[in-house]
Amino acid sequence: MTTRATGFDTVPKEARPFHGQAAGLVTRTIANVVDVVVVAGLLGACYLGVSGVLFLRRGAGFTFPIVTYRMAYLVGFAGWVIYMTFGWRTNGRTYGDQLLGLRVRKTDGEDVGGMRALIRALLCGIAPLLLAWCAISKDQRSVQDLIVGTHVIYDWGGSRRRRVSDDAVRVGVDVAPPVPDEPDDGHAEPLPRVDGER
Amino acid sequence: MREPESIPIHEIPAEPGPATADSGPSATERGIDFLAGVVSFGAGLVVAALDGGDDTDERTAGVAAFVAAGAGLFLEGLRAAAPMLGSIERTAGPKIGSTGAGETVGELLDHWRSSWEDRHEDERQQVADEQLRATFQRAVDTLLGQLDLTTLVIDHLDIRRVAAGVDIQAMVADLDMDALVGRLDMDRLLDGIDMDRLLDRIDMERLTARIDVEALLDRVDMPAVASSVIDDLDIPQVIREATADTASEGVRDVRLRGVEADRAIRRAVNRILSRSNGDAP
Repeated sequence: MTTRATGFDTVPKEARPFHGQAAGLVTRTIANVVDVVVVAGLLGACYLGVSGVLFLRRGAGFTFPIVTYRMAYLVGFAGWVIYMTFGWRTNGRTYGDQLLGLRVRKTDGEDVGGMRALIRALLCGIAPLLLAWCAISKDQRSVQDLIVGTHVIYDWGGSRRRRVSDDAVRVGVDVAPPVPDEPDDGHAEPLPRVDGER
Repeated sequence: MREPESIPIHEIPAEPGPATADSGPSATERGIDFLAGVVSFGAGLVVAALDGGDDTDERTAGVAAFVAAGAGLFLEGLRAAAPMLGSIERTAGPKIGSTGAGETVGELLDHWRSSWEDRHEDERQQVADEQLRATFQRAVDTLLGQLDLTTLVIDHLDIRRVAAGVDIQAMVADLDMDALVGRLDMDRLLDGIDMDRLLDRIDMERLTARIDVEALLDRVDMPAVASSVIDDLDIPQVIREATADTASEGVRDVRLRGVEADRAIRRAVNRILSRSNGDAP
């Protein structure tokens, strides 16, 4: 039996018109703000963790450690770089990108490598305002993108895979937002299984 | 036309021989008699042929006279040689007769003469048959030329009676249908068929109504087909991708608003820079 090759488009319906296109200044800025908040939260959590350890060791003589601006900047920079590098290297996006539906790709569409992600994170940490160049750039690429050869695209998830030929069937899979369980569901009789087992 | 010149053939006198036991002529005499007959017959034919035409010229008449004279001279010679041959036969006759050679030669000569006469008779019979056949053919052609056979058959032939007497079943049984079909050029036959018209005349509703779809599906290994389709489509991966980044309505709203803001800024910058807005959807 021969099966015709079928392409599935699992991209959400609303995002299909602009899926894969270069993202603009607003979404990327919001994503960065979210990431800053996340990194700040992580660093704050780390500060509280360290403080908890010190409290257990010092007891009544415990005082919150004093963090100088220099230390805060260095630790924040290191945390930012680690966070960004980890996100771009593993998933192509940070939490802010995920929230705004963005993804960092090489210009040829491939995943970003570790070294490229590290350099890009360093550049973003040193000069984050260079992001504004993407508003002027014809390809909507920031200075960091131009240096490391990447771009940021809209990607709400899903993919357009295995579209072998033009006559292949494209099936759109629309996933409805999760519906909270009805209170009565717990009392409903479960459906019998196919093999008759309950 | 002048009368054919008669050939001077004289009766060869019987040689007075000793009284023998057999009363018939001897072998030599029979041979000379046969030879004389042959020469006389041949000369007669030649003379008759030469004198037969109305336009016989002088040269032909001279040839005929010469042939007749030659034949007469040859026969006279035979007559003169007869006594000598008779004496030889009388001298050697007893010895030859004791061996039976004389009778054998005589019988052989009789056989030749009878064969000659039979052959001549056959030729005459053959000529007569050919003339009769030609005459009959001309008569039949004349008769058919005067008749309109088609009208004759239509008016007088009872096709039904003829057909009633024909055993169609026996004829069909005698036919070698395999050989008949083998001579058919199916490709040419199919080329001459208008398939579109043929299909238009087919009642697909009735045709499909007669198809037992359930029996057809029973023969299909549906689990194998379903498994093949699922393997090819990789349904689990599709579900994973479709549900992995499922966002809430609020997040979708934020994303869409962000995209719209991006486009607005893009259009504004393009307007400021007097750039075409080709990449905007």
